[in-house]
Amino acid sequence: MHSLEPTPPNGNGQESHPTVRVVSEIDLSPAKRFILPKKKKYEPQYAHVYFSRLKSLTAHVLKSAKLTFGEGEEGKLQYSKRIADIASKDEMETVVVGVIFRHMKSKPSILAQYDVPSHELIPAPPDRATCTYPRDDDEVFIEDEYGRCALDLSQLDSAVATLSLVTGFVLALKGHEDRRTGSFKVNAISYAGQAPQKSLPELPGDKFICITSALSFGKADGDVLAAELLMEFLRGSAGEDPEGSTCANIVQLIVAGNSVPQLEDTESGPSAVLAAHRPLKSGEKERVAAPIVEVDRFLSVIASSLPVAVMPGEADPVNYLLPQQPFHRCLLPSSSRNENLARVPNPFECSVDKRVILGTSGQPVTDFALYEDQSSVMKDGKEAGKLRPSGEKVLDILTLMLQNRHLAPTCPDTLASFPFSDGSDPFVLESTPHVFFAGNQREYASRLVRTPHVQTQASSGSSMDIDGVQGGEKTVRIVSVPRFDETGQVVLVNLRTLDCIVREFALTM
Amino acid sequence: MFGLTEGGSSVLVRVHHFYHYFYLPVTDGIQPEALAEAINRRLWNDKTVPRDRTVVTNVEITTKRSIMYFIPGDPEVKFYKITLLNPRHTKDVARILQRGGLSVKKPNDVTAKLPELPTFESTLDYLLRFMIEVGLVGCSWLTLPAGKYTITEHKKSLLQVEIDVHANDIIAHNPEGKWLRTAPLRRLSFDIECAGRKGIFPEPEHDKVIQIANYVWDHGHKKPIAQVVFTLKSCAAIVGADVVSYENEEELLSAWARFVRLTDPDILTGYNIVNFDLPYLLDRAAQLKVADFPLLGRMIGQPTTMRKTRMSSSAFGTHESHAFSMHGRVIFDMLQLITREYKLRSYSLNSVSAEFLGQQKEDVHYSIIGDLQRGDEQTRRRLAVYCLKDALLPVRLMDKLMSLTNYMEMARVTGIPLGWLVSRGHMIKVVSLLHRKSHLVDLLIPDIKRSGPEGGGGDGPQFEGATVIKPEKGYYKDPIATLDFASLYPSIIMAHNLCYSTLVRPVHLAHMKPEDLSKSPSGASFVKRSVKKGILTKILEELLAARKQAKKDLKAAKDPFLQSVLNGRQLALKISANAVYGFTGASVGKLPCMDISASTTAYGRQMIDNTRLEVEKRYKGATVIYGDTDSVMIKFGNGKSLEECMRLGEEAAEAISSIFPKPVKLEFEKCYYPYLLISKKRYAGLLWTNTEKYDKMDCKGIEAVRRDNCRLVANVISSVLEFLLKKRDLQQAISMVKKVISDLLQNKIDVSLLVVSKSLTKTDYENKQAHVVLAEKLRKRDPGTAPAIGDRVPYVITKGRKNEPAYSRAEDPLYVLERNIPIDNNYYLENMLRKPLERIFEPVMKSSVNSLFVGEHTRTISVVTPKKGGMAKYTKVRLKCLGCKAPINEGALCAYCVPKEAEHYTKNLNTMVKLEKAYSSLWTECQRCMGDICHDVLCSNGDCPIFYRRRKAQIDLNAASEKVSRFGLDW
Repeated sequence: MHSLEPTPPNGNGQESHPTVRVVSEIDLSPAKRFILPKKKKYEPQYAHVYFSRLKSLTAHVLKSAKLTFGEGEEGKLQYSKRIADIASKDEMETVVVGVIFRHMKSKPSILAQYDVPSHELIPAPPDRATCTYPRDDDEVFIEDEYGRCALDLSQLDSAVATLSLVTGFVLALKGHEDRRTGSFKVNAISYAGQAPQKSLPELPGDKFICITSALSFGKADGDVLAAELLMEFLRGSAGEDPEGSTCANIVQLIVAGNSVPQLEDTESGPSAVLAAHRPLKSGEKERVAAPIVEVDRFLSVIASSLPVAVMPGEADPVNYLLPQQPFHRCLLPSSSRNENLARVPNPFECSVDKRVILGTSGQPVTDFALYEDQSSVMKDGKEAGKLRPSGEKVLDILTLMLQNRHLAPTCPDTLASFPFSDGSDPFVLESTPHVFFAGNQREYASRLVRTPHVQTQASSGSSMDIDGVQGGEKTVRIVSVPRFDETGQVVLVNLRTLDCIVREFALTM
Repeated sequence: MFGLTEGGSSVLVRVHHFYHYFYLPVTDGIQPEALAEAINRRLWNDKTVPRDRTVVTNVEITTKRSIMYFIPGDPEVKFYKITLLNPRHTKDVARILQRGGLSVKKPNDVTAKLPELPTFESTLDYLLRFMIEVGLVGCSWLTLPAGKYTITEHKKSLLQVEIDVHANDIIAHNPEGKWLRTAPLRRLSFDIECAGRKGIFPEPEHDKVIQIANYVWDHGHKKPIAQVVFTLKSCAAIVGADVVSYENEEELLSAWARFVRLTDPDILTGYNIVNFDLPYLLDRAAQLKVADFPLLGRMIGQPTTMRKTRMSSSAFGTHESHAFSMHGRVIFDMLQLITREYKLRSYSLNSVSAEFLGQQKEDVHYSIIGDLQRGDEQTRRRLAVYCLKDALLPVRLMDKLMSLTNYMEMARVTGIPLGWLVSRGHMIKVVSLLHRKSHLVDLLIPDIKRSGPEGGGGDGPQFEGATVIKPEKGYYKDPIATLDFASLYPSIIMAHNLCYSTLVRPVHLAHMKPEDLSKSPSGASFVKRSVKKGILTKILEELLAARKQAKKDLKAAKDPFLQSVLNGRQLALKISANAVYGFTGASVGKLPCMDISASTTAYGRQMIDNTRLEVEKRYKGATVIYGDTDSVMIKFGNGKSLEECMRLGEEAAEAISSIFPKPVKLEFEKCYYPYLLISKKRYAGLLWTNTEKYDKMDCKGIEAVRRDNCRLVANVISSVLEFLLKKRDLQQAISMVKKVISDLLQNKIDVSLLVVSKSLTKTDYENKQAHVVLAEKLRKRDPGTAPAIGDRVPYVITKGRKNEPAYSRAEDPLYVLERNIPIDNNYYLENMLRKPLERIFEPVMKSSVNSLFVGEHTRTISVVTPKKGGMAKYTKVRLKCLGCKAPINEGALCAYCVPKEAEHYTKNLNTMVKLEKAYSSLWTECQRCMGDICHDVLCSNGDCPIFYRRRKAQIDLNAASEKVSRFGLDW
């Protein structure tokens, strides 16, 4: 069993290292908040998730709204404590804070499945959407625990509106109630702003973390050799890197999900009617088991020379609801014995030499992208029917998530999530990481987001940051990590400079 | 008359100088004046009216004919036209004359006693008499020429303008051309909530009215004018709606009545308002002595009264109902309307909106309503939002179903006021048509003594409807062409000139030329059209011509609102034309005439038979496999293609039409291919009107819609039909059924599919019925949430004790889910599935049907152990290995299965993943449907297909997750 305690600086690196490896202080304990309790209760309803999200974010959103819009002023601008209260006021400029809900008829819906002719007695839950959600009859609401209000977005730039007003974000909106329609005419939006960030202590030399995703071992048309090359590179036997980042300086590998390919659901389609409920055939058993053996071997080899954190993804054999729990020991029997291997949840957060690294296996970003219209996402040729955003779009989405302090806003509405009920939403960002990534994307992209030090308007003399914790600017490296099985690429992030390099292992001859 | 100007101003027109009248055949030697005097005197003597009042103001002699019977020579007859000052006395006067014995002075001063005399047209409503005379039809426009009316200062009503006018000065407009438009009728839709005591359905003697939600919405407008909710005790604000709160109930009721008067709607709507909301409010207001509450009508100072009625109608069945007198407003209850016009599994607002609006609706059980009311302003707000939605849905339904538009068109076509369409049966429509037409040609309609229950009509002994050609049961893989007689009964009536006024009595037959007569297959004789055209023929011809015109206009119309009006018109015309036959056949109707209706059906039967003979004569190898009231199904022979059958069908329709008198027309519309004929009125097939693609799967009389079946039956049947008809794969259909049966026996069928629900009407049922017994059981368990009278009780049949009767084994589905109580699978197989399946498979599999129910697939039976109760009390549950079920002490697997840990883990995990997907999609769906994401879903809508499923997902997922966690977690 792997310990969550920081790995001692001298590490567990085995003697057989081809090169002498730099070691780092790795702390996995921040990931603990994504670990579900042993006794899981699937009783509480999803309302608790929104409720606790509102509770943790409202104060921050309100604070930053007051910086943006100014304090309330008699007869000019008011801050409405409850959304329901706007109904009783005159058409005065009002700021409301609440969680956004987009009512869209194209969202996958189990009730809609009942109308689809099928041979199943009971329709299966809908699959991930194969089209984007927006339609002309969509409605957008803002809601708090006291009520909801329909939004009139005609005064906003439509691109801004669709990207910012996504289900699950907690926002402050300025506008006024239109008495005629009963809706709230929005003219400006304000975000919570990035959460505080731990300061970044100097590092004496270059150190890298390597992030990869969708290794998809066992995929029918997979490039087996590419994974071998990656393995050799990581073990340090691939020779000097032309760009100067020696593999010896890689201190951590993060496998961001989808180590095995998506299993075709054998129980759909008309023939499945008859096949359902029978035990798995022996061939099918192997199909399930074989890729995991290869993943286990790969991880064993790497872990013998390098600390590895393996996150599950959508295709992996772990639970479905986010947060996904780590692989079970029995699925990775041999690599699990190596203490260098950490089986971690998705989303995952750790700190390496005090650099906070946070990321997901991509589901929140993929789902988020569906809230925009068709033109902004692309149909994926390789995985028919799946829609995935471009690299730049991924970065925009990640930036928004940071600004809104939430890493999976569309949970639980269109992204399946565990029904949290203890008053906390673990996807709320209490602090801003230094590296923020999303795995399993169609292409690599990366951006350094710098948020300048903000002076409060109210007390201009003070050098306090709006969050009152750390002053100074915040710097985050955001990364769209491409699928390895499609691009052969992995991403290396330099922890000293937060610079980012992409390495390709595709076997193109 | 209550009306609107085009701009939407409400107008009350008070019409003066229009007097009611009726007719009486002239008795020789009795002068009109003497008759009038005699009647008036008799009324004074009987103390019906005080001595200073004159009831009969005028009697004159007119020349008319009775509509009944054709008499050789068609002579005119003299009638007294008796005019009355006040229509209220019509009945009394008519009764005096009908009973006979009235003493009248003859000119020679001899007093004669009148015999019993038949009266004519005394039962015609005063209002209808007026409308006929003026030429006014329902929902139409009229002009009052300038200078011919006066505007009243001292208003007696709430309308904006009040006008006095002489009856002769009214100009009525036919609703055509520029008068086709409709007025923007104001609708008020409302819903009330009552705080019931625990376990008792709210009663106005005890339970408070706590909320009344309202939508005010003009017909034809896109947005409502107002959304207002009246609440008892404070209620937090609702965006987009006005919330008005009161501390005491009397004020609330009084304020609502004021609101109704203020908004002054033309139409009051809602869901079940006639039998729940309105009576409840009126009773409650009486209980609390809120004096101004009943003033809901438009006449100042005239309270709304209510009486219980029984309405029976052959078309709508017998219903206990309420009738209200609310001047100037039409009460348009969407529940009544939908039950009349649609056949559905359930008529709850939930399922109706799911059916027509495609949305499920949150349902708050009334046992929770009390709690919400006792909470704070937030919980009351919650309730108000729910209440508002219930007020909104009826309007949305009305618009979606075009109810108001269609009813307005019906009022125009048949010429009766809108309100009558809602409160009366079909009969009144034909009465109006008949009177209107007869009035023009001086025919009088006799009054028939009625012996049936009060109401708009009755269900007389229906004749042997048209015989059906005996169905040749079977599964037809060849296309079956269907020939339909277009508007069969109306065209028979027209073709053979059947009418009251053309019917010849047997005594007169000898005096008639045989060539002027035609004798129907049922033995009645009618004169031919060339001698005298029947009134019914004229009415029908006009209706059908108008329908043709409406359809033509519909094609040309661009404006969607106009389109809906025209479509409503053509529908109304069709329905009215078909109602004529029914009118002549209703034995307790206004003017039944069995000779007409029996002749109609007899001709119908003859035509179907002739068609069969003709088809089989003309086409070699063709057989008519089935014939219904107005259609025949033809198999043209083996191996004919669809295209060929369509061509032959078309040709046959044309050819055979020519052997029948005009306007009878045989039409080819569709082919069934393939076709499954189960029995009389039960069949299914793919319906084709072109050769490219079938239009739909058409099922008649098959179990899918029956209300007292569980979903499993409906789903299995539709799957079977899908396989048989669309895929034409008998083997797959059989294996599908076998699999379902096998799943059922192994407890793998989702409980939500097994739920049956029945409405609890009376507790003292003579026969023990499952839902009644269960309701009693639930009351003992928790009187607070037990179902009350009027509720639907959902249940599943459980195994129970040995020999326990099925009715006492019914159990609440949620209770079953939570306690894992075993379901009686065999009951479902034998009592639910077996018969419908046998019926469907019999034509296909013949005698081997039984093989569906026996064999390999029925061998595995799993037994569930209940979590609580029964033997479970004495047993201790021991952990079992998840691989081989061997008992173990801890963990997931026994020592032998550990080497296969990954395999067993994956298997358990996969089960869990599936349940997780279901769980998340089910619960997010409910959260979305509720329209609120920050509060728990409270919905108790058992009609929703996912209601039980979402609870089951919770339970199953907890169990699956527990299994997975037994493998040990290492974080």
